[in-house]
Parts: sequence; C-alpha cells; structure tokens
Amino acid sequence: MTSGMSTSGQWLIKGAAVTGGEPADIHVKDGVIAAIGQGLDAPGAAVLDSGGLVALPGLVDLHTHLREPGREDAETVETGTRAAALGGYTAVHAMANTEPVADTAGVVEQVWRLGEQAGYVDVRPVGAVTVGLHGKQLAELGAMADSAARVRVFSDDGFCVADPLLMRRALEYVKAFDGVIAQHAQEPRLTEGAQLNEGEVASRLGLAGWPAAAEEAIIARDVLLAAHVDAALHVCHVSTAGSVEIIRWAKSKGWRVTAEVTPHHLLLTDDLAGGYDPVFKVNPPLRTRADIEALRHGLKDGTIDCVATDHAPHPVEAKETEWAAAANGMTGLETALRVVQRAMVDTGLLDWAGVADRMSARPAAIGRVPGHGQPLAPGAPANITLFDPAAGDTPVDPSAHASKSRNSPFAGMPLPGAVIATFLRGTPTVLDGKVTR
Amino acid sequence: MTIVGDVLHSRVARSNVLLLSTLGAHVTLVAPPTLMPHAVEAWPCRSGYDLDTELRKSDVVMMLRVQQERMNAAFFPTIREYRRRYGLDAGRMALLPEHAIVMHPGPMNRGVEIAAEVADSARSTIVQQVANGVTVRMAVLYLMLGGATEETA
Repeated sequence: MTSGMSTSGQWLIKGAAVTGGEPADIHVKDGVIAAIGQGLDAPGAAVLDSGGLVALPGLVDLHTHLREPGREDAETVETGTRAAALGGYTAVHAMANTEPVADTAGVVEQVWRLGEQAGYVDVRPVGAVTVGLHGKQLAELGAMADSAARVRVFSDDGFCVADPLLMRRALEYVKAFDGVIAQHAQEPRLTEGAQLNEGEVASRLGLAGWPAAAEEAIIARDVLLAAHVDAALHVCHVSTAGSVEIIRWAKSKGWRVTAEVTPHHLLLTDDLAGGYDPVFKVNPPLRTRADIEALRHGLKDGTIDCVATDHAPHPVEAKETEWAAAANGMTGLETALRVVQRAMVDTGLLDWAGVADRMSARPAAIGRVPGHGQPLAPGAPANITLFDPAAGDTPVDPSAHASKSRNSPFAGMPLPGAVIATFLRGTPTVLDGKVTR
Repeated sequence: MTIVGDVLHSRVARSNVLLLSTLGAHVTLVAPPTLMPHAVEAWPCRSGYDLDTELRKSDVVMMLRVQQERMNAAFFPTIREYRRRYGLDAGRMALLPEHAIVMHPGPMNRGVEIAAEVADSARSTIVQQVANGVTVRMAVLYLMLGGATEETA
C-alpha cells in the first residue's frame, strides 16, 4: 500500500474513512496533522493508499502489564510496546506490579525512559498506591507525580486496596496533583483461593468460586468514598452486570467515577474453562453471557468509559500447568481492536466514532495523557491508527505476535479486521501490518 | 496570609482563620487533601493544595507542626514526601515576596515542616510570636481568674 518512502517526514494518507466518516486525505507534516480534505496534494510526502481503511486517533491503553523490570522472561518494555503499536496503540499505561514494584520515583522513571528508548508508543507508568502493593502504607505518590514520568494514574492492580481508610486517603491525597486511583475491585476475604466465576460452570468443574459480589461490594464502597471526598475513582476491568449497574448509578449522581472493560470480558464466557485450559484463567474471571451483554451495553451507553486490555503476558511454564497452579492473565494488545470490532461494531452497538471515543479519547482523558486522544483534525498531533475492518476473519496466531508471551485466549479464533498502520507523532511505527524497525 | 500544614488537627489554624479574617486579612489554607478539613469551603478563607503557587502572593506564611503519628495513620506517605511537598526550606522561602515574614506557633519540627535555616532567618518572627503567645495567655488567665473589673469585663 505504501508507495515511496518519506524523505521529508511527510505523509499523505489517501482516502481513509476519518473516524469512520467520509473518505478523505490526511496530510501529516512535522508530527502533526497539517490538513484533512479531498484530493490533497503534498509534494515530497510519501503516499499511503488507504482506500477502505478507517483512520482512528491512536489508541490509548489504560491497563498494560509490560513486566519490566523483573519479569523480562514474560515481556519487556521493548516487546510489549512493539505489540502495542501492532495493535494500533500510541500510548499505554504500564502497571505497577513489577519487581521491584513501581512504588518510587526511581522505578517509574526507569520504565518511562525504557519506553522513550523503545519509541513505539508513549509509556505512561502507573504508580503503586501502597508500598510494595502490600496495602499497608501509601507509597510516595507525590514524588512519582513530580518525577519525569509525570504519573497521574495510581493502582495496586493485581491486588485490591482493600482497607477502606487507606483507600479513602489515597483518593484524597492524589487530588493535590489531579491524580486518579485505579482500583482492582476484589474483596480479598470473599475470593480466597478463587479460581473461576462462582456459578454453574465452576460448580461443575469443582473450582473455587469468585463471586460477582466480591467485585460489586468494593465498587459500591469506593464510589461512595469517591463521592464523599470528591475525588476521581477509576474502576479497572469491570466484569459483572451488577458492577455496571452500580457504576451507572454513581454516574447518575454526578460522581467522578470512570470504568474500563477488557476485550476478553466483552467476548469470552466462563464455560471456556470447561477443558481446564489455563489460557482462560484470568482475574477477574470470565463471567456469563448475561454479564457480557451488560458490559457491552454499558460500553455502548458510556457507563463504561473505555476498553483497556489488561494485557498480561506470562511465560509458557506459568500457564501450561494444572488450572489451580497457573498464573492469571491473558495477552490482549494485538487483538483488542479486532475483538472490539467483533463485539461492538459488527453487532451495531458502536460505530467507529464510538470506538475512537472508547479506545482513544476517554482513556487519554482518564490517564491525563497529553497529546493523545484528540480528534483527527488539522493541528492535532499525528497519532493515527489505520484499520481495515473488511479484512476477513482470520484465526489469531499467537506465535506471530510481537509480545514475548503466547497466552492469547483468542488463539485459533477467527477475528475480523487488521491494523494496517500506526503513526506516533507523524512517524510510522507500523506499516503494512508490520513494525517499521 | 497563608497557613500551611496539618489544618485538620490544628486549633491554631481554626482560631487564626476566624481572628485574621475578622481583622480583614485574606487567609489561605494549604495542606495535603488528606489534612484539609471536610467542608472547609464554609470557612471564611480560601484553600489549596499547591504551596509554591500560594507563597508567591503571601505577605505572611505560617507553618503548622506536623506530627509523626499522622504518617502512621496514612494521612501522607512519608515525612520525606511531606517535606518535599509542604515543607518550607530556603528554596521555597525565596519564592516569597521581599517583605514577607515567616511564622510558626511552635514547637517546630526542624527539618520537617520548616528548615532550620528558615526558622533562624531574618524573616522569621517565630520567637517573637511564641513570646507574644505567653503574654496573651497570661492576660487571658488573669482576666478569667478574677482580674477583670466592671469596666473591662
């Protein structure tokens, strides 16, 4: 599709449906969108024939596990951000549960610098809420906020900030620098040893249940706390119909609550665990068809603000074990947009403008990510994803993924669509579906 | 006039807001959000979380004592972070206008809410403030314990 390489740093993207609208040309120059219109001419610009493609603002992921430092056997900032670019992302938030934990300015600055060096996407480190994710003492949140990494999202993800007083203080404390607490909502006592959604499937398989109420109880508590102290709460990986109801109620009160849903919770159900294949083991667990329907409609009506991958790479030895011993988590960066097309666009629930809102604009706003999530318009930074929704269903092949890990629950599943190109501030990180370097 | 620190647990801050606003001063409270009283909007003063911004427009800055126990109750992460964000050191003092003075009701935690070089600087009126406090307390006790006459009562 590419004709000629750009020597001027300029690109002319021809005939892409801009955010799903009428086909137009996009002229990219000096890292920004110089012009959008019909029949543009840009001497010296490399031309990218994009007929039939949809142009979206670069995707922003609020929830990515890049694993570095500490678990470079699962993923590195380099491999994880390459996977992100291939998935159409231009910014990702790197979760704090690394080794050492990202609970100091030093660690978040290291992760941020590794992202800068890799250069595929902007890496926004998430800071831990508590020291070591232990839930006992606040980490130096202000130091992380003031660091070169400019942290604004704080989360103990992997663990719930279960102590209600500590959660209240955290919500209050980050108001000083416009931060947000992203909560992994899981009541710990209700989920000790939990393996799979508590329901018919877990009972039949003999696996310890993870009740929906354990998620919903924490969300209910936290929205009340956020309201009381007028602070910003973000709910990670919402997985149940009841959670959607609680968040809808909180938003109806005007409280500062936002939420995300993962691609896998939009598409996969707990009965996939019937073969005891731990590739389907994830926390929170896969739920039921009724939950999926509620999540999709929550995403459609904006109750759930965004799709976040919870990309959680694990080495083979952590996943190919008996169910109870396996690690929780699934990769997701390289399949997210395709899953969203299947679950939301092909079902008529969202159009491409809606996808742009839920996968770029809103996550960028929640994460306070400068320069991302802006509508494709002249003057905006040229963070652009070109997606081919007409690419027919092709089975997902994890061995072809750029992620270091292979634990995709979509392996072998035919999914529509393909990411063709990704531009980060005017520079292509992906062209013709391949990374540019 | 900017009052900085543990406003939540401070009698000094409460009486100063009432007294100084009555006398016509414009009072601003600065604290971490965790140490700002709930519904402070109802008080006759402004409030904020960013010390550096407020210092630039202050004629007086009064630092409040912060107690170690507050950290253990998770009001803030560490003494070190508190000092970085809300402590008055020489660098921050330089943000104050030329004529501004530094106050503290005492006792001070040197190296926490106030650096020694600030506490002992020419701008500091802290020793005078504490001495005046003794005089005022003597007068109050005298009046309360029967020293009042018909005319002064």
